[in-house]
Amino acid sequence: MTTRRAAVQIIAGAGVGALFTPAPWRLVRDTALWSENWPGIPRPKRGPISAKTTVCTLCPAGCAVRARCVGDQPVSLAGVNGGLCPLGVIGHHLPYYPRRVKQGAPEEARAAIAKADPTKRVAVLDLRPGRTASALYRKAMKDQGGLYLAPPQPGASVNLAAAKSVLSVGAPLFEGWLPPAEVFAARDRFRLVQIEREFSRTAAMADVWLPSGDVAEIARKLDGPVLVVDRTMSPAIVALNKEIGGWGQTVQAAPDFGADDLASVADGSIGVLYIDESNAGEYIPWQEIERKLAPNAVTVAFAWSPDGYARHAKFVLPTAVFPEALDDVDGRVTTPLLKAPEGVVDPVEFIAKASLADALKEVKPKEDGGWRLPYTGTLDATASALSTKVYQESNLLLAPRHVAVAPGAGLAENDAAVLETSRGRLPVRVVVDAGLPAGKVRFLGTPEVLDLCGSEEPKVVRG
Amino acid sequence: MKPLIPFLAGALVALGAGWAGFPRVIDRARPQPVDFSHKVHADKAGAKCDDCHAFRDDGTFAGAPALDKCAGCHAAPMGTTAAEKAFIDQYVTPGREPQWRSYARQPENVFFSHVAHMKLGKLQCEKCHGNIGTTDKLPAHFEDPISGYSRQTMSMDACIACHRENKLEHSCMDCHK
Repeated sequence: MTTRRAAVQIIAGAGVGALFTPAPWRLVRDTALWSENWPGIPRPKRGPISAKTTVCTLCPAGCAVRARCVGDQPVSLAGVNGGLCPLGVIGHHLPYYPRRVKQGAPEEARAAIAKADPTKRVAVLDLRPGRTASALYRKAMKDQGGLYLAPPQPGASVNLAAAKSVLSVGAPLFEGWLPPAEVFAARDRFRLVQIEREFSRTAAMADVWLPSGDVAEIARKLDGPVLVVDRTMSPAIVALNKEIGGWGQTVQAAPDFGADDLASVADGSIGVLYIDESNAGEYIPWQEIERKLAPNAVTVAFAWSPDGYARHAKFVLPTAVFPEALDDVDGRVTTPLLKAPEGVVDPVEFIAKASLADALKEVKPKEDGGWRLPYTGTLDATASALSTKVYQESNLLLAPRHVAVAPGAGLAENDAAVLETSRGRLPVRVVVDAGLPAGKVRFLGTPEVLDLCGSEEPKVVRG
Repeated sequence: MKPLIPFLAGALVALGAGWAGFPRVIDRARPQPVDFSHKVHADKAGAKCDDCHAFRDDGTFAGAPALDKCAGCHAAPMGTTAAEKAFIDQYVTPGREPQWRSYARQPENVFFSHVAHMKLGKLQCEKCHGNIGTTDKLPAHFEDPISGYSRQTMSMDACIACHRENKLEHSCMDCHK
């Protein structure tokens, strides 16, 4: 008769025996493979490959993209005649962002706008000025006596390919400040001197890294043509470029997007605010916008991600996203690679009551002279949606809601902490970065962090 | 020793089930849709691998040929075998693509370039696919019901071993794009 003790021994023996068979290890592997394909995970189709070309609109560089497609489905993107940055390479994943905005209430938004206070002004905030859509917004607002607003742009465009020496005063040259593929393609042709207190990734890849120095004196000693840059292409840096003869050669005036100055708009004067966040570049802290709004203002955000101004707007209307969206960048028109889902709203049609498709027929391609408008902020809003998994797994870049601190700050790797300013608190995870100087904090500039910080330096406290 | 007998009995049962029973359950043999002979095509038609398993214009590998390729020769029965008649009746005449089961299909997170291995690496098909090109009958396709992939699919260990042997160790992103 089998006793309880014997039954336990049999089970224990079976457990040990099973470990010496392929079964548990095979089940672990199979479960991992199965988890890649479970319902809800988009899987590329299989079949004959065809190629389509389009233009990446994720940043103002507008790189030419060659898409490998199975049927109508793009399964991989690559650059044409050159590289494509990590964001562009995985741009076709963007429509599948799990938190994508899929539903909105356009009729309710229209009704609320119709009832808005007629004595207040209408405004459009365009987060990617310089497009054909932007021109239509500007015209529509001019016709209505409204405001066309855009985030602050850099003080000048730069031409990296024309420079023999580059003096960077803290500009993150290799970290998305200019299109990465173009920067690396030109890397062998210029000498980089990086002046930055922090030993950043750009500093690590520079020919010379100086924690500090006399910018003008160093610029004059470098082999020309010299390009001097800082993060925002500030007036002092533009003046220095003019002084050393770079104006028109490596630096030129930034394009005028014809935007109204937000600071000069009277507080409480905007009754209806449209925010085109469908192709967001730079952001403005919400507090700066909020004070310009009338008490009962109607705010409508056209967005595909809920992480930006959609957090504040009364109405959030879903939009197409790259590579579904029809758009243009620097004189080049995109070819949508995917059909946008049902229910998306065309911001141009909604705001300007015009057809973007018709307007794009008139777009004339511009000659690419190598002039680029740097990103004064970052592409963090898109990056956070597009590459969160890549960021987290690579450990090379900060993931959203992570802060980097210098060693000795009393915080350990992966500690729970809080990013704190007078405007609020944000729970974060800690990454210890030996490249940071003592007391310095680095974080990903997502819209929620931007709202929290504004111009104020945040501090990190234990969570 | 006697107190260990139940333990050993349990271990033996598990070892037997794990080595003999488990593979039979987990690897389901599935037939290919058509009784195809690589040998006949190589010997009688003089076909080479890349006559049917061709590269596309963009350098990608086309895999199993589509029905159009087969119908180029088999528009009408070429012989009197039952397999030939079945192929014509079930696929060529109604224009229905055979749903070939791929032995080498990789998971979705793996990018494998045939053109890089064959044109740059100068590898022969047999290096990875064995002697399938000379067989008279297609081997059974063992499909794993959990993962959905074939048992014959090349594992990452095999890729790494060959790359290591040829001093071609690269980054994760080469294959996991």
